[in-house]
Amino acid sequence: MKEESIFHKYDLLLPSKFDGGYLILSLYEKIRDEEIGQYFTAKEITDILQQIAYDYGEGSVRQWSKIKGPLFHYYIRNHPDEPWKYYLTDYAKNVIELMFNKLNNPYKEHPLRKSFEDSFNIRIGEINNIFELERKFGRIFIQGPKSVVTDHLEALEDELKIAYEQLNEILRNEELRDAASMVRNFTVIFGKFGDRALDITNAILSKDKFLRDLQFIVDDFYASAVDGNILDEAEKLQRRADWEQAREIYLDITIFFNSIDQKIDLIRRQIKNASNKLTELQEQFSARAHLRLMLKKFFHLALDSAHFAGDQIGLNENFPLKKLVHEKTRILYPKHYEFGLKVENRLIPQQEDSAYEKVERERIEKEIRRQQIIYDWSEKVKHNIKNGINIEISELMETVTLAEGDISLAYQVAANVISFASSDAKVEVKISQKLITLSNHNFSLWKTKVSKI
Amino acid sequence: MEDQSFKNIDYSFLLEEEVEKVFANLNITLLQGKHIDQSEYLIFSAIQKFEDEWKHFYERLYRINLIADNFDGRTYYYLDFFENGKGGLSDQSRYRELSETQTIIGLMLLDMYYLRYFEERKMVSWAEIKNQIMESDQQEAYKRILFGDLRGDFDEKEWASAESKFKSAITSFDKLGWVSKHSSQHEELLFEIHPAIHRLAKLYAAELEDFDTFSRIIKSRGEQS
Repeated sequence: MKEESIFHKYDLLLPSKFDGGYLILSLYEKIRDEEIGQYFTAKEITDILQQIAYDYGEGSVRQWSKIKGPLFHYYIRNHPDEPWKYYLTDYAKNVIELMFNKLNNPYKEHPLRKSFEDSFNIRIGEINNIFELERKFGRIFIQGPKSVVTDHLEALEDELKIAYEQLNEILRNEELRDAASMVRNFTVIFGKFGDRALDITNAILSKDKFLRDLQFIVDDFYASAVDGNILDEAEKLQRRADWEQAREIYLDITIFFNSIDQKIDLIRRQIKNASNKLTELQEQFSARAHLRLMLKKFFHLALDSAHFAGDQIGLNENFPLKKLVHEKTRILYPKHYEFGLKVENRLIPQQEDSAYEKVERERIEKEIRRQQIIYDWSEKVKHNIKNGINIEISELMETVTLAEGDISLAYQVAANVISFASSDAKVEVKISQKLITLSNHNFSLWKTKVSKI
Repeated sequence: MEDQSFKNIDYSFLLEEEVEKVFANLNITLLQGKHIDQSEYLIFSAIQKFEDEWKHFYERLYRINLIADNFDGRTYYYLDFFENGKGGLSDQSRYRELSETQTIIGLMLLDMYYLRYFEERKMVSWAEIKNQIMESDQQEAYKRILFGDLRGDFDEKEWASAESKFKSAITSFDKLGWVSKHSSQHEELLFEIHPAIHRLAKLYAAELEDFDTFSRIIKSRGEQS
């Protein structure tokens, strides 16, 4: 069987190799080569499965009954009249043909320019009315030529991709250490790039010419639509409709060419990039090859030093790990903003209030006077006590009240005296439980006597 | 090292509009270890235009070195410690060490960069990594390291575990500017490798310089242990 090369790339399109993939391919090939009929039997299938197991060294033969489930409906169906026979669906055939076409794309050998010229050209006198234009370039009629061009570009992409792989392969092939042979290999593959670039340039030139020609034709329809000599209204409307249809055809083709332009642009860029790389490689061949070689050796050494470690990859302890700058950068945002700060504080100068000043001054002076009086009396009494004079608190209060006319002053003096007596060990306070009420005042106190011991 | 080369350079460039606009982003990403290339055009051009000023800025204010490097025809900027000072390295809050997983996966990506040397954009998908693991010359090593086993196939759980190792490494590398991730957390991994991945080779420049000695040391100690 020849299918191995197909599976190399397009295995995603079919069921996996041994679960029916090889089987479908083999059936297709055998039907094509007329080794089996369109409708085949379970025995023929089993024979093929045995052959596959043998060809690919599979230990055991897959059971048809086990793999048939997923294949049914899309790939294989029963014959309606002879249910013991099977046939390949059109879908299965299409998929396989698609793979063959991808592998052996017929456009690979043809220049892109030719595809363009075959499909998109206008000969002089070819288009005389809207029907001819529609038949040649209408949306439905142009579908074929469009896919010829896109298939062609796809083939080109595939081809370039393979060329890159070959270039990369040469670069990493350690056996080709000799720079001269490496360059020679590059050159062979690169010839293809050069040819392709030239072909694409020609194709674009031919495309531009075609679009210009088509524009002229659309212009002709326009000229005919606005022709002042036509007087018949129905004719006028018809010509206008023709022009609009022509314009739509032009638009449709322009959109198609725009997408083609983008694809071509990508391919050109890839070619240019590869070409730059090659120039660069030639310039510094030995240095880069050396670096590459050292890196490869280093990588292999690192792989040898590494081991499986669950969720991580482990490395031998002595394999150095490297450090990178990593500053912790934090931005702190205040949680609350004091929006009120924008309001200015205003100072209001106070007017002098002489009446208030006078009252306050008098109040303060009076208070000072009171303090002075209290002090004078307290000192006088303390002095008397020290000199052995006994003091009766109620009498003292009577005296002070009488002299100063304010019982609160007498109370302060009495409090000062009691406090002096309590703090001085040589002075004794004697309190007897006999209530004395001051004359003319609603004030009573225990009989209290202060004397020097 | 300083003062001589930075004569007549001050901080007035910070007032330039194009610098002011990107300053926070530029400063934070560089300080977090990111490698800036043209894919971040605004920041890149703000650095490129005032390269000397920025060098002066980081040297005087952070004692670290702004480096302009070039690999595969593309320039990228990053911050690094001064070789002699190593001042920054003494303070643990100022650096981050690449983990073992990151080191191995980083080296693998560097290798893949070369495998795609001729392609303009080095796009890598999880399917291609899987292919590397299963089919490349290094498949045995990959299988041993990622699965701890050398079978022909691995189950879903084992693949999920391997993929999560790659995902977390790729996310870190995305922050470092070594790759740019094109897939979200729940999608299959897809990313582009940037030339800045070559910084990893620079980090090991000393080991590469005298590879034979390094290799001998690693191998001999490996045998002892």
